[in-house]
Amino acid sequence: MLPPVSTRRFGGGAAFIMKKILQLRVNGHDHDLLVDTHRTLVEVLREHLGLTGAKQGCDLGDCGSCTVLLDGKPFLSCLVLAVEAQRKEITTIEGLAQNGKLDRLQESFVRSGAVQCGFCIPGMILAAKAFLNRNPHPTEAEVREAIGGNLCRCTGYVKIVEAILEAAGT
Amino acid sequence: MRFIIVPSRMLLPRFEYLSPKSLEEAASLLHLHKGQAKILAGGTDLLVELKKKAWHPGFGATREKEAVPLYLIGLKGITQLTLIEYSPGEGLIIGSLATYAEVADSAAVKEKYPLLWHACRFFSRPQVRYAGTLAGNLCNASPSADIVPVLIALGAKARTVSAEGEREVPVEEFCLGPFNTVLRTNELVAELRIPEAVVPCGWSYQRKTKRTVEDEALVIVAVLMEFADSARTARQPRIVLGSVAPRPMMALNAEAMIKEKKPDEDLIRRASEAAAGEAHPRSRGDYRRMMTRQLVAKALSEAWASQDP
Repeated sequence: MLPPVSTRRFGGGAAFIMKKILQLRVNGHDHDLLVDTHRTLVEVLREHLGLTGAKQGCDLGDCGSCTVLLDGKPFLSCLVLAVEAQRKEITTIEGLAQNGKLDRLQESFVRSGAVQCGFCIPGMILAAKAFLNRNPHPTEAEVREAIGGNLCRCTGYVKIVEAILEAAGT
Repeated sequence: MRFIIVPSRMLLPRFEYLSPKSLEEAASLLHLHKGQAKILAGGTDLLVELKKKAWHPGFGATREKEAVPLYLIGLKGITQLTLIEYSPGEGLIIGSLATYAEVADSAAVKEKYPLLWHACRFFSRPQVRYAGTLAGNLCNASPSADIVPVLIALGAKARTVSAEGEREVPVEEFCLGPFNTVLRTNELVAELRIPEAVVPCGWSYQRKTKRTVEDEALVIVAVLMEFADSARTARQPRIVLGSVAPRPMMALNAEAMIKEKKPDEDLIRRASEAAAGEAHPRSRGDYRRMMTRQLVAKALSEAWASQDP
């Protein structure tokens, strides 16, 4: 019943050496990683896998720039422990394009002029993709609610909403 | 003037991560490490708090009161905790790992508990709805907790489990004050139990935020009333206020005023004034009392105008 004790404390502080071997499935590829237990998914995606599309904007779960998809649903990867992202299909922005061809959403974002500095865009597109998968013919109000967790400091959201509606074909 | 250096990254403090496979194992681990362990459900409150504390011990909602835990006990390996089950005649069970998105996707909840459905469907932001749990909102015990007033209005109870046994705590008694609950250091919430739905009923859920709908609320009002007859006489009305007291509270005077009464504009006005008088917010008092009055009036009007299910 007791867990194996595999930690050592140095001096008086809580300096744990606690790494786990994780298996993460990202954009269809499996990775074996040696990761500290206190690492978040966004840290591991960026630093272990070089997938820097997910951003650490606030790194506190407020801005949404860290949004990735877990089994097709949008999550704040800065608030997901890497150890808890195992046994899930993780999709990052780098995984949207197939065989060099951009996803419909990506194309409409580019065409609509929805991208300025680009920082919010990976999270924004992934949130939109998950939303359109559930609600393929949304109203504008529904689109606005769906991206309510993704902040953009550049655009004022107008062209982002247009891009999503255009990709939906409505 | 205090200057705050804003970091580019918010790192978590180091901890050991434990992954029990059953509720008994979780309770046993929590007992073994009590005082040094925290339960991890969705992480939308706990991980934010730990990030703030790791940056500066004085930050975070609980300030210096709680030390950084050495162990996080993750519940995600315990499938029974994801249960959302409605049994006619008995009521609704919501496991402590059930997320807002999962509750909002439940047809039974939408049909039988529209107040709960609405509060979950529009909780915070999409990403938070997929990760966050109702039990977590209760255990975090923020004075502005969004789901707790709804749970109180529904007469919910929390079943808590520890290595020493279990107990059921009515949700209105669960929170003691800001970020302080009746949970002992070796206890965790297994599920929320909601009694059989009352029909026909009227309900309303109101929130006043600073800017956008996904912000923290300045005032929350949850109203639920069973209609005793076709004239919509309010039997057992519940008017529950959030974010206007150290913990979510029932506006008992206002409830008493409308009990066994039919819808009436003047009654609504007087009841909402009574509710505003019962609120005692820590800050922005005049504004929040005014908005309490407005939102209780609006909620009572809406509840009394609810369509029959």
